[in-house]
Amino acid sequence: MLDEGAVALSRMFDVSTHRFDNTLVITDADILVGYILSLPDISAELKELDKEQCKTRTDALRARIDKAISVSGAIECKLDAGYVRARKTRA
Amino acid sequence: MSPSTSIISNQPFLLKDQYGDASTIDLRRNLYERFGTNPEHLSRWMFTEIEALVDGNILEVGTGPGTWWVENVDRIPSGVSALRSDFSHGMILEARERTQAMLPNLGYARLYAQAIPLRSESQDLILANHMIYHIPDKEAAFKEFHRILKPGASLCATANGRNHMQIVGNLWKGHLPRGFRKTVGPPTESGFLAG
Repeated sequence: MLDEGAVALSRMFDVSTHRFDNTLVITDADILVGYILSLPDISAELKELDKEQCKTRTDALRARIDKAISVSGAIECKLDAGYVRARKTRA
Repeated sequence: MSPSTSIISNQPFLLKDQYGDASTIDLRRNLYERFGTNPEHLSRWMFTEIEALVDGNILEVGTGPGTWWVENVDRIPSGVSALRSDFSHGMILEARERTQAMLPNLGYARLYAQAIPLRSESQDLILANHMIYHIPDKEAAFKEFHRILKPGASLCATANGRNHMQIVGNLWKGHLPRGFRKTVGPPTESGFLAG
């Protein structure tokens, strides 16, 4: 991740970390479900399940998201992203 | 830093499941574009931050569908010589299709960050956006980045931090976001050193 990456790069480079401020206010369950199911570790996890187990997990996820949106109107999701600049100052 | 064996850096899985084409990236991007409260996109913000560095020979590793260039097409200096690369041939085709008309002079290459076929001290800037966590041997890649950068030049790499979208992890693990108190680690989208 961002901070650990900066530490690893600092062994070879002069490093600075810069953060981008953003928050998602999600009102559409389908898009969030699609996003979550697309993530590599979750996609891989689903591939280990049979069709019925997969549907059960997916339906449960959708139900939780639907419920959260219906209660609050939206799911607010803080992002934590940015970039590392690693400058070559040593040969 | 030993080479990773995580699913996050499993190259055959990533090529087959995630990055054979741009559909997965587009799906995720749709979430950010539809529901982000910051009107500026991460790529635009980053460009503003590093504008003085965007010149000369630029290598982008993990170009994906060329999003960074599409977002900043109006700001790319005319003298830039850029090679956009990816380990996925399908992604290079996507990048070419999306940017060729706008930026016809940019090059493309399929390559792996752990063995970059470029001369030492030849690059003014390396871009590595949301991709370093996919590299199986990060130490080898960092050495390659260091080797091909000119003295004083920089690698700029976007990534997510450990607090990125923690609610997603909660929802997947079965927690309703009641006050979002119970937190678990977020699933890995594009952290830096996951795996």
